[in-house]
Amino acid sequence: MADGAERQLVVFDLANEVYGINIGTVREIIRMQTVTFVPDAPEFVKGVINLRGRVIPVVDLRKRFGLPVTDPTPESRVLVVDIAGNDIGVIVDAVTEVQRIAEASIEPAAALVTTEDSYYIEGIAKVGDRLLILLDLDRALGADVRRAKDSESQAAAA
Amino acid sequence: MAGSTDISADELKVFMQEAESLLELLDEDIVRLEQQEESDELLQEIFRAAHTLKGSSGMLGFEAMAHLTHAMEDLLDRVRKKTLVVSPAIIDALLMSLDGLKILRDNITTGDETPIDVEPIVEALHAAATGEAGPVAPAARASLASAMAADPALAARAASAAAEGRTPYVITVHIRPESDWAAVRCFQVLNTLDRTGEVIHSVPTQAEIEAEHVERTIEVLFATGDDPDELRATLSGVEDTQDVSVVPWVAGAAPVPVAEPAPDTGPAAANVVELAPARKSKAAQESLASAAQRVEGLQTTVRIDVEQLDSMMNMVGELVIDRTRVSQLSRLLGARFKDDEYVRSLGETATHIEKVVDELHENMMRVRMLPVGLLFSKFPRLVRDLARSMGKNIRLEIEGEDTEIDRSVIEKIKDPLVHLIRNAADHGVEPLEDRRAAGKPELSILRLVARHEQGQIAISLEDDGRGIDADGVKAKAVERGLVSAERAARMSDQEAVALIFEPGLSTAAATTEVSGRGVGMDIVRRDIEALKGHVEVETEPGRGTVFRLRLPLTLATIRGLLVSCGSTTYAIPLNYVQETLRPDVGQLKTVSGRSVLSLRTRNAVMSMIWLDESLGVDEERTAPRADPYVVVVRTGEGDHERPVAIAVDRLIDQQDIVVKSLSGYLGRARGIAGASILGDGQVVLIVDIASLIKASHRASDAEVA
Repeated sequence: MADGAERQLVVFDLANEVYGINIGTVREIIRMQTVTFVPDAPEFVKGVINLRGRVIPVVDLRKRFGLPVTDPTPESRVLVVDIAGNDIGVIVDAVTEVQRIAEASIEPAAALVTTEDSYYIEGIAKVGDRLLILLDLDRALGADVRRAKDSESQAAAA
Repeated sequence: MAGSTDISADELKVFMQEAESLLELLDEDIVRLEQQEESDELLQEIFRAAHTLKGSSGMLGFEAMAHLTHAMEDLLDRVRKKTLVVSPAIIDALLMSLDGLKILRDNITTGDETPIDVEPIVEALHAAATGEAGPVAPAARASLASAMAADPALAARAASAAAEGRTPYVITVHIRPESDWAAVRCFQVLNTLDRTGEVIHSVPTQAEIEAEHVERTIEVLFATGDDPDELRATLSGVEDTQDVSVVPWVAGAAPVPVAEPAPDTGPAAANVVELAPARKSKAAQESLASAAQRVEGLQTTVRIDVEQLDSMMNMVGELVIDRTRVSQLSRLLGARFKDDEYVRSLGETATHIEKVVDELHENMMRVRMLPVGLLFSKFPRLVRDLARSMGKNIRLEIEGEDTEIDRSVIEKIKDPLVHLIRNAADHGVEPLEDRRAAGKPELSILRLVARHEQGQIAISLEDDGRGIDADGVKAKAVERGLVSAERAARMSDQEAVALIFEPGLSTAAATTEVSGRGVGMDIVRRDIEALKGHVEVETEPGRGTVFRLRLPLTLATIRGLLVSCGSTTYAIPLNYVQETLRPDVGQLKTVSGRSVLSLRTRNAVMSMIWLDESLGVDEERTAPRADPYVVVVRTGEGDHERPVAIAVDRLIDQQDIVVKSLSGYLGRARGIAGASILGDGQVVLIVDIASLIKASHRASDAEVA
């Protein structure tokens, strides 16, 4: 890793933890919208919203991570991200800032203990005295797709 | 030659569009070539397509494509010039090249750099071009010219005949390509000539003719004192002959090479009657005229990128939403500030916007309409390939290919139609021996018909095969546990045959007891129903089967009835709605655990479901659920049609709504067909009546059982 390499993160709060995701995956950040519930959808999908004439699903990240679900507050935001070609809204408690961090300050997840539930954590970054959890949203939200694909390619390889 | 890396995006786009339409043209034409007798015009069109593709692919440096089209051109040139007769081998080679070209095109589209070896196809083309007469043909194509060059004695005999006062002629007779009796006709030609003069030499020779080593042309060096016109008339009188030419032989001049009868016979045969060139130039004129027409047509139309069209459609869709919103707001303002001049003026403007947007929307819809022929044109090839691979003799007849339908629908009916056609060819049409035994013609006809019917498109596919055996289907359905034996016994044949649409039954298994091949009619039905269409089957054992599809013309907008349950608004497609009513409490009953709506005045009882409950929406309800509105919807088809009552809290409005698909991320939501956005920006879900009813039946069946 080159010295001085940096990455830009969108930093947000979720249930008293601070998370960061690569700014490149975030298309836009919008205020909380009226969500229309969709029956028969994955449990962590809260419903669909109107994004300037398009209907996109929104995910309750608290529910996805098994955290206590709360009602939205004025601070709540929807991060619109691109997951495997689908625009998906992700509800978070608050978006605090966009921050540059040095690659060197990231502790890769491989060095940490990873369980099945935390495989979507890319690493932990130390920023001052705070710990920032780097999320791989592709893994967190596209997991089912990816798992299906993996088992397919394993089957093909076998 | 420019390397493919130097091509600008625009050049590439133009090339791809051109290639696309040429490949489509070839796709249709090659199959037509096989079916019809070869027409000069058709050949010319195919040749030109290959030629154009060769030119442009070469220019852009797509060498494999240029190489392949060059070989096609070679072959086609020979066919065009009648030195080759269209044979299955030639058609196969051409189709093979077409498939190769499609792969090459796809690679260009995807930027895949993997080199593709077109050499085997090129070799097949060469083989088809040169090997028409098979291994029996003597070195290359024997011609009279080469025979005379090889044997000077022939010219000497002709010269001595001339010295004796007879005239030597070079006679060329073509045998019609569709003739099955080329050898016989050649033999007749020689026989006829033998009676009126001396056959000095012939290609093919008498011995070759007797061994049936013949092509579609016979050339004779012939000496006679008879009138050449009479000779020509006599020869034209032989069955299956065409383009008879009788040219005086002149010592020292090479006889007319038969290989190039078209343009090259011109000067040599100018003083002799020649039917072929006249006919050809007429054909050429016609094709020039049609080309000119095409060019003229081009000036008034433009090609447009599908993506661009879709994005325009989306924008128009949003305009429609905004239009509704603006009208609503102007009505509200009008109510609040009745006398305000600006508000009134706003109202007028809103009305105008409404009108213009509606027209724009309608026009946009029309632009998106395409003739189903675009899809149907792929099927003759499919049927041909299927028939050939199964050793059957099937012809596909197409009607109503001009019927227009939204392009999104066209795309989505392709798979189900292919499936139905495959099934018809594979399982519907009997093997030849069975057809013979049943006293049916060997050639079976598949008829694919499209037409507009009451704002929908109706497509039917009819075969003249063995039909579906209702008892066989019943037995299979009972065996697989789909229906009980008692229920099966009570079923009409029509009902029984409809069981083929249930998962786990296949027409093949039901009719022939061959293997357990899943034929997947359930998937066909699912696909069609996903388009808000329906499919039904009608069959007559021994006579054939008809599948009838009905589909909406467009998927982009529907007329919806807006209803609400709790705090949520839903849209129910209006085409399912029979009526809405507000029943009395006394009309709502419970029969063996199920809610029913009893309309005594009409002597009707129908099952009733709550919209939100059957969607699996749990909402805290404040109002008691005793006072619902009811939307009566039609479900099922034909004899099975029965109304079902859907209970909702409130009826809101009828509206044209723009259908938006739900993100693929959500998977297939049961009971939901899509979503729409209302004028106030609210997202509403569109109810999929068919799957909703099915799901709720399954649920209540489970409860009862």
